[in-house]
Amino acid sequence: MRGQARAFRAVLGADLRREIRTGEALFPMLMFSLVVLLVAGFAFDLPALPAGERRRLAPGILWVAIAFATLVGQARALLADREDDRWTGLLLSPLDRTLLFAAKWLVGLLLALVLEVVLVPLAVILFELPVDISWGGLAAILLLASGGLAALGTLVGAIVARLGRGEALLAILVLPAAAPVLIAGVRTTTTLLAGGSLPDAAPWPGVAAGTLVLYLALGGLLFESALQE
Amino acid sequence: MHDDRRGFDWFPLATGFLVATGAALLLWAALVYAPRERTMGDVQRIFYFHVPAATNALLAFLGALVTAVGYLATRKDAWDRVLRATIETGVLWATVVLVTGPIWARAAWGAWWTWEPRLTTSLIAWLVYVGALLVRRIGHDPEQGARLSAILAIVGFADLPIVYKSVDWWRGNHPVVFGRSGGGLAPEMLRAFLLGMLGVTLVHAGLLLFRWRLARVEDAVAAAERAADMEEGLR
Repeated sequence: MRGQARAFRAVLGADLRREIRTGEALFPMLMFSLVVLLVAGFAFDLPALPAGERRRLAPGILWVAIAFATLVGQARALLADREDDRWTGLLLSPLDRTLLFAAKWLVGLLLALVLEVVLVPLAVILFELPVDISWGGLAAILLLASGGLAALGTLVGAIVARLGRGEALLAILVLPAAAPVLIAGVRTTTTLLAGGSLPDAAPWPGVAAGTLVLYLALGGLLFESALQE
Repeated sequence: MHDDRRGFDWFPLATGFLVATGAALLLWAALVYAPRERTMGDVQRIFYFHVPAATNALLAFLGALVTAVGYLATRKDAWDRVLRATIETGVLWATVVLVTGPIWARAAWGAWWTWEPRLTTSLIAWLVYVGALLVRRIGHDPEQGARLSAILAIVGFADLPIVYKSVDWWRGNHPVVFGRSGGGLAPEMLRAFLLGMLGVTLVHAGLLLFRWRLARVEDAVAAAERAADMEEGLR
């Protein structure tokens, strides 16, 4: 039991230290999501739109940026693991596969949260969004929906990394299945931007929580099969 | 593994017979037997193709779920051969659903696509299971391909109810034919529908058996190639 906890902390610590030293996942994630905001600004002609229209489009743009950036980050991290042959070490470690999944998921979630801390204020500035909203509600939906995306991304990411492929295949496999998470994220954010609270967005926060639980359970059960040589 | 005895191979003929019988039954029930619907006209006949195709896609994906669990639990190739067949026939029926649905919707609702829960869930299921076919194509190692494909078949199926419910909450307007709020069917239409269901299911059974047999041949070829390679190596 204590050995497992130590191994869990070791895997988590190694990934986080590597990320802090190199920024190999976070840096492309940030750049990519920034580019998405920029392209969306041009594509939807946002500066020309009235405030109400901008508020209606912004959640969708934000979640497209978050979803793709999360997958970019996960594909980077998992491919780096593969290139340096870190998987061999991880597979030889005594760490239970479910805990290994949990560690990789937690890294993915932390990366997404750091990204969002930068991205959301940027979106507020670029799209002139209201600031007197329920920030607690926004934090909650970002946590739940990013957690779900990261869980599915971690499981499918292991598959994609096994095949030696990158972001495109990961997006093809994850995003259709993650439709409930995306709808939940966009709908809740729309309600919050209109001045509502988290319960006003029902049932969407519940959908985000339900998918999070489902994807965590599936990931915990199936990660072992995805990793085998 | 493969039947080596010479002689007449009845298997393709038998499965071909199933497919032909089912197709004939379906076409007769939908195009000849079924009465012309009063308001929608002949377009309504798509119903006899669309609904059985959807049912059979769901059956195939359910079969894929069971065989995927069976494969991951036992790692026996026999499970994977059925898995390969069910995912492919499931994608085929889902394609039929996705083609016939918009044609009907265009005539009935005036729009090709409506983001309605069943249609949207079918599209998402189609994408997920095409993904499950894709990972098998990309990999080099068949065992790895089988494993990854099985994982996606399980994740995809577990995901579908929540996808359906989400899209339903998000948007909704599908005609409910059966059930309390449904319009119900005239007795002749119900008989045509049941015959069409039987027809599509027979076609499905024939295709599934044929594909399964093809998987056996694929595995036999792969085993023979491995054996030949090994012999080469020994020489």
